[in-house]
Amino acid sequence: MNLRVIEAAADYTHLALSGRLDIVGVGAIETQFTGYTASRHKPAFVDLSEVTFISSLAIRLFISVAKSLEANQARLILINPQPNIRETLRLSNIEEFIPIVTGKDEALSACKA
Amino acid sequence: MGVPPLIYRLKNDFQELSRLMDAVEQYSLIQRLDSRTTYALKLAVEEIITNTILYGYESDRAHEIEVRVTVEDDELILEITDDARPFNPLRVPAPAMAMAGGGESESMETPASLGLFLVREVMDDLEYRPQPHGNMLVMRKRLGRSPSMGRS
Repeated sequence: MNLRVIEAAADYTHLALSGRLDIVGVGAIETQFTGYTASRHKPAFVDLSEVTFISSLAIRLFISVAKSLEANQARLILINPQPNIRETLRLSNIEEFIPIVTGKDEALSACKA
Repeated sequence: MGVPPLIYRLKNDFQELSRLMDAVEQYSLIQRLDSRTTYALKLAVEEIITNTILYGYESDRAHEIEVRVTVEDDELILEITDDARPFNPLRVPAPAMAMAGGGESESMETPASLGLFLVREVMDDLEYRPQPHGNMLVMRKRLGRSPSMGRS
């Protein structure tokens, strides 16, 4: 599991995750992920295109970060998940408060919506 | 002769779960399961075993969990047997999703409920069979393909 910072701009953070977001993967990135997202109090865009598996623990992490950001009038936005990941996120019914978009431009628009 | 079932015994150790996932993926390839079915199988294995290891045992003592995967009559069957404390996952209510109520409410009643909810969504049938010293959960998913497919 790997976390890469694409851009830590003044008004947003753009990250990319890759690998398996199972219990081991979540444990490997949780602290760093929270530090780059919830702790910055800015909109956070997370590219999931290279994530190959997502567990409920990862979804709970996303929900936790989204709640924290919401308290600071910011949003967590997920970008470009693979089809099976997208389906799992859909089943989890989180899209209402964690938008899922196809690219950074759409993410920028979503965080202003 | 058909493909033999995958039978994998692991300790209550998350590092072993990663090795099990490799074995599940290999079995899916041999059975020519499609991507969606393989993903459902891996999700069910991950969620049920994670719950067992996190919440099923009262000590750090080593325990054994047995996973059996087979394809029979156009149906994928996943059986997970453990020696954990009795727990019927079918009695866990579906999570109240969300940040409903302005983000004030907790999103799941129990830490396990979202994972169990996902398992119920991706599998077609779940059956809980209490064991003398643990639990067995049998999960089935219809494959919707010719019964001869995936067999050698």
